[in-house]
Amino acid sequence: MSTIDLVKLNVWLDVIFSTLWFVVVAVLAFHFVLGWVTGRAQKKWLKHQWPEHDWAPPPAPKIMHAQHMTMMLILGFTGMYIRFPFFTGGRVAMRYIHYFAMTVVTINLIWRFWYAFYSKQRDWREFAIGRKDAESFLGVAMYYAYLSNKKPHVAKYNVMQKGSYIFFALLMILQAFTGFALLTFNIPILHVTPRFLLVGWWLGAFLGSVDLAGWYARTAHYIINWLFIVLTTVHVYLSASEDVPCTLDFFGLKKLPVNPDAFGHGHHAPEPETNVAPVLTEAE
Amino acid sequence: MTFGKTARLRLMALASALIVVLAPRLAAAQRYDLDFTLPTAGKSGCLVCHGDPNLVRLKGSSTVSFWVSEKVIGGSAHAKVPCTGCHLDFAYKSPHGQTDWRRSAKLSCKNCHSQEFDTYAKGVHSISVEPGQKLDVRQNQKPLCGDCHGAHDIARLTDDPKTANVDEGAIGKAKLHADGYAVCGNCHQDYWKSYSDYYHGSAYKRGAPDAPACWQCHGAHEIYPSTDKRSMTAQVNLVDTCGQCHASIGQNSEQYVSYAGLVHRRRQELDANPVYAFIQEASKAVTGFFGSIRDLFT
Repeated sequence: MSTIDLVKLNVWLDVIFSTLWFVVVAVLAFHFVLGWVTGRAQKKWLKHQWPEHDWAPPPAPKIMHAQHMTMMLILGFTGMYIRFPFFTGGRVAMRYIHYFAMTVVTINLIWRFWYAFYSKQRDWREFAIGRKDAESFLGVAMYYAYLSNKKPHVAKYNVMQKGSYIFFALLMILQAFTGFALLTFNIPILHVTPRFLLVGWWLGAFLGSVDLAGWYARTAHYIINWLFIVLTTVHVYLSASEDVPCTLDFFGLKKLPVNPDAFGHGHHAPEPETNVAPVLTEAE
Repeated sequence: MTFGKTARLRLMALASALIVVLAPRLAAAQRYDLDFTLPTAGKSGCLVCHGDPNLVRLKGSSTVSFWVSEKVIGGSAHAKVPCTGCHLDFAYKSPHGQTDWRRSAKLSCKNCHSQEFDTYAKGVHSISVEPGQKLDVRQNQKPLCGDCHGAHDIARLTDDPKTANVDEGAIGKAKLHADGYAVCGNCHQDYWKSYSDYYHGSAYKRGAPDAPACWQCHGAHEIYPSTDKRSMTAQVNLVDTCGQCHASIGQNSEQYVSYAGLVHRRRQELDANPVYAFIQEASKAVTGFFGSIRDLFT
């Protein structure tokens, strides 16, 4: 890649992503206005007709979410500072804060995967996209586009939520990978750098330089950072505009009213036992 | 009691020896005592006048200060060098005559720092005329030692063994590292402004201790244009220059042109970016539109 290409690539990334973010904010603002025009916002904000829930999230993911959100904000802020230093004297501190938050987020990520697949709760099914989810995609998209007032309900999360959460998880893994690939200290015993271990030996061999491989890792890290910013902006907007009670519950600010029969998924409270024997029908 | 000629001579020899041995020590112990008796050997005589913050001259419409802070020079690397060590053309009369004293002082460093001066004399900043000679415009713009390094406040870059508890060398190096604008940017405004890439220039200007100062890539005394193969920024030398920090850059310097291209060209590329240019124009148009509406009502 020639000189000008690499310079241009970076400038284009800055321009395109910052412009994209403003466009997304403008679209969301327009979407919010449409909510009032169509009357959907009045139902929620004035008549308090928020979506019903047959199940409230347990404490562990809520705590994890709050902590994760804090760390991601820190990572975004410090990461942007490292690329665009906007005050004097913060580089060393910002780097170490970034490393600290990175460590917490990585531990969080590992813990969340364990929680999803190996814990007693193992909630991975809540995020899995099945056939019914796929079939509901058009309906969900039409609801968000104000082309329909009915949002198809298949499970706890709709198909677009599931898709974005899975995408978040993939981005997290990629971001951790590209982030660790930027580190150039020597790992004790192994005597190689994390950069060499992750990208140097293969991408570096392909490009002819371990440092150049690190450059591409940094570029990918920056792109993923912007994807996080854009997706999180949409996530925050939808959390606030679609379901404030659930958002408040998620941050422990107000308990979410739960109706176990809301969707007929069988999240009933266990019925009190009686001594009366069940009446058998003829079919049984 | 009378002394013989031999005894007088002995006494005089003893007194002379004592003066030779003790005078520098006394001078060091009382460096800045006011002392009208020495015209050349110490600072104290000069500081009688130049130690006064109010010592100024009116030149045209501006006031020029001739104050030398005793505290500043006392804390500099040259605290023990007498004023006349640098002000070689000092004349003990007031005012000190019409000598080219600035140029003399700024070039006097070569008397002690000959190695640095030799390398400076090879580079693009060198001038081949002596103080007092007439310089053409281009030569006149070239920096002398003092133009980059300053004058009375030059910091020590090595530790003074006598002040073991103070990390003077590190403090001096940090000060010098942070002085990029004063050293280079003051003359090379365009390059200073364009030094705004993400991880070198922008970080350096925001005080990052690990971001390179100008001379870490371009050299300090032996500076050549990047078209000259002796230049640190010539393509053939980029592996070594960038390799000072980027150890695993590989041996293909062409790849490093990509890095080097970023260092001074980001702002230029940003201004040339069509989307950025469109946004700039659009924001100007929007601002202008609202400005004209506001003007209607005011």
